[in-house]
Amino acid sequence: MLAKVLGLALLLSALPAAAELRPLAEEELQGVSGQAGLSISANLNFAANPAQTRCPGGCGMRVAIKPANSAGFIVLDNIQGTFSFQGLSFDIVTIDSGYDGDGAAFNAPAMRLGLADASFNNARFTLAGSNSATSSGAGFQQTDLLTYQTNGAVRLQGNIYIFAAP
Amino acid sequence: MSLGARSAALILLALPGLAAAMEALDDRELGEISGAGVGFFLDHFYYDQGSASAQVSGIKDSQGNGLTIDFERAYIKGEGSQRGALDSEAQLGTPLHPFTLKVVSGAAAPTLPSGTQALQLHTPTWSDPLNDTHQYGLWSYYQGCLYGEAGCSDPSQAQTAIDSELGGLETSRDAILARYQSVGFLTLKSGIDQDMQLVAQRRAEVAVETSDVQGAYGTMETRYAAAPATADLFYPKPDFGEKYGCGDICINSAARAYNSSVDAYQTQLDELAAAQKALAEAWNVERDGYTLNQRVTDYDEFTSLCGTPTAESPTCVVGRIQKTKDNRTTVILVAATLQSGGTRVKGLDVGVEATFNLPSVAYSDDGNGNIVAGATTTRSDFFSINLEGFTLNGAYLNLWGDSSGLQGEASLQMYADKLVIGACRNCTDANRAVAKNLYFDINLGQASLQPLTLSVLADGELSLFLPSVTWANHQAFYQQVPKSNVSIGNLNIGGVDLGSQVVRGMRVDYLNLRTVNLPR
Repeated sequence: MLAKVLGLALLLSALPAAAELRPLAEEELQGVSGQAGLSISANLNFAANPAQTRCPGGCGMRVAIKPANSAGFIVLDNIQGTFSFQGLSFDIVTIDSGYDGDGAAFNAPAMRLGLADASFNNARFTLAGSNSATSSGAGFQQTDLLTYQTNGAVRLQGNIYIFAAP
Repeated sequence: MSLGARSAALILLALPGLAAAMEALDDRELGEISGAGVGFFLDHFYYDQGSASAQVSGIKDSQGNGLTIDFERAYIKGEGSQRGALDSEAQLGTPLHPFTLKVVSGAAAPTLPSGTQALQLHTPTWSDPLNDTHQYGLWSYYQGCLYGEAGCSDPSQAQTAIDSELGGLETSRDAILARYQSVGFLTLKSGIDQDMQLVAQRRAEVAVETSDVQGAYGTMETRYAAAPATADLFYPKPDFGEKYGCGDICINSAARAYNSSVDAYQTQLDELAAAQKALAEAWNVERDGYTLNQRVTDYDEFTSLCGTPTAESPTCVVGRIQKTKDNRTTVILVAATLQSGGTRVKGLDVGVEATFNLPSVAYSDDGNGNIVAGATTTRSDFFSINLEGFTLNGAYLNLWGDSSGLQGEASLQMYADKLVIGACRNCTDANRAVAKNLYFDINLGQASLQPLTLSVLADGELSLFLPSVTWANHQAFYQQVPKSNVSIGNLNIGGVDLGSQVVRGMRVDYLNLRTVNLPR
């Protein structure tokens, strides 16, 4: 339920964000310069569905990707557990100094994503190849390659700068 | 209010602030953004597994027993982290040398078939001698030791090494040139061609005799199987290849037939030996004072060093000597840049320590000479891998789709100051394998001639495929499909220096890799 609420909130909140991606007049742009960015803390829970008996204790989320003109799918299967992070930041900054002179030469805005420590609670996924996007139905075949699972807090920091490349 | 709900509310409230954080862009800047790809770089970055546990499972051995890998420690940090002990911050790319993700065609991906566009992920790229992976990797191979470590402060050590290599090649060339100076290389080749006709003829004779020997051996086997345990009451069955004592006068026809096949086999062996001797003599035919064998060896060596001779007194403008001279120019350039105080953009320290847990069966002798399986226990093997000063500058991956599936080509340009592989938890580098100045120049796939194809088959199995060279494209294939090279400045295992290692000119002619769901 929590994941659904969060998903709905993200969906709704994305609309005004998309609406901002239009050319702004000079005076509008001047008005918003230099203000604070965005900080995100989240707790994402992917719960198992006990009705799906294919996985012990029920299967988690399934993402299926079909490479061009392939008959089957690459699958991230049985994604479950909790992933949380505190204080992921999001900002638009102008890079105009540093980086051994590269900053001054660049002198342009970039989107900055600030990474923060994250923690996992029995998070797992299985990488597999499958003949079907969904796991139900007759003739379902899947080869599980490996399962990765993690539990506990990892230390992560840094900034990712994203900008338009020529 | 739960944490999740609070987070969602925070996002809702905060997103309008997204626009508020934007700085003023003028029309020119906005115009530039339209239609461009995306560039990105990271700074102040590090990752440490910290207190988290991580495990990979689901991998099975051939008996279907599960294998698990427990990651005890993993980190990605800036260079100088002392194998992850310090939280040194990494810088991956800069504003002017970012990772890029964009759609390319034409000059940006020259191997793509005309009219095809590809999605390209390109790592930060520099053209200066210290940060261009190819140039620095080449220098580091000849340098051998890790620059900056004790006893390795002179970057021109690499120049001395390549000069020595070049000197050796030129000495070989000069010796061959002097040997055939009075003959001329076109005359040499024509003499080789004439004498090789006899070799070809005698090779064919050896092939015929080899086939005859195999036939005679087969007949002998068949007749041995049909031969009796005792012939003519007195003569027991001999070992295979030996004859019954009654020789050619055995009354038992099967024994007589077998004895005769042994003689036939011996005759064929003698004929084969004679043919091989004749072939050896053909290789020893002398002309201009040298045997054919010597002349062919010299001619091939000269061709490798200087290219195929096109005159009686040939030039030496291609081949290994010229290639080494070109490399020498690069080595000198890198050494001079280092000597003038140039520095490299710092790389990454990457490390993983893991325990492999797998089932192990003890086998023992049951006392009656039988080896029997004992109890199955789980054994744990520790494995660690640490990379110091790792860079991936100038690498790219091109992906596109066509009727054959998802296709790609990749060039990995990996350099590391040091790669340390260990199988002991509490030990020093004296008990590990340490490779210094490691350069991997790995090229996989070529868009037009050998695209790498990734597909998932109808039964869900993954397939990775590189088409083979064909007769129709073999010339273009061997000219254009890039080769892969691996070089190590110095390899030390368990405290013993094994010196420099290099593998040059690897190319995959055909690859078909697919997963199989075990047990079949």
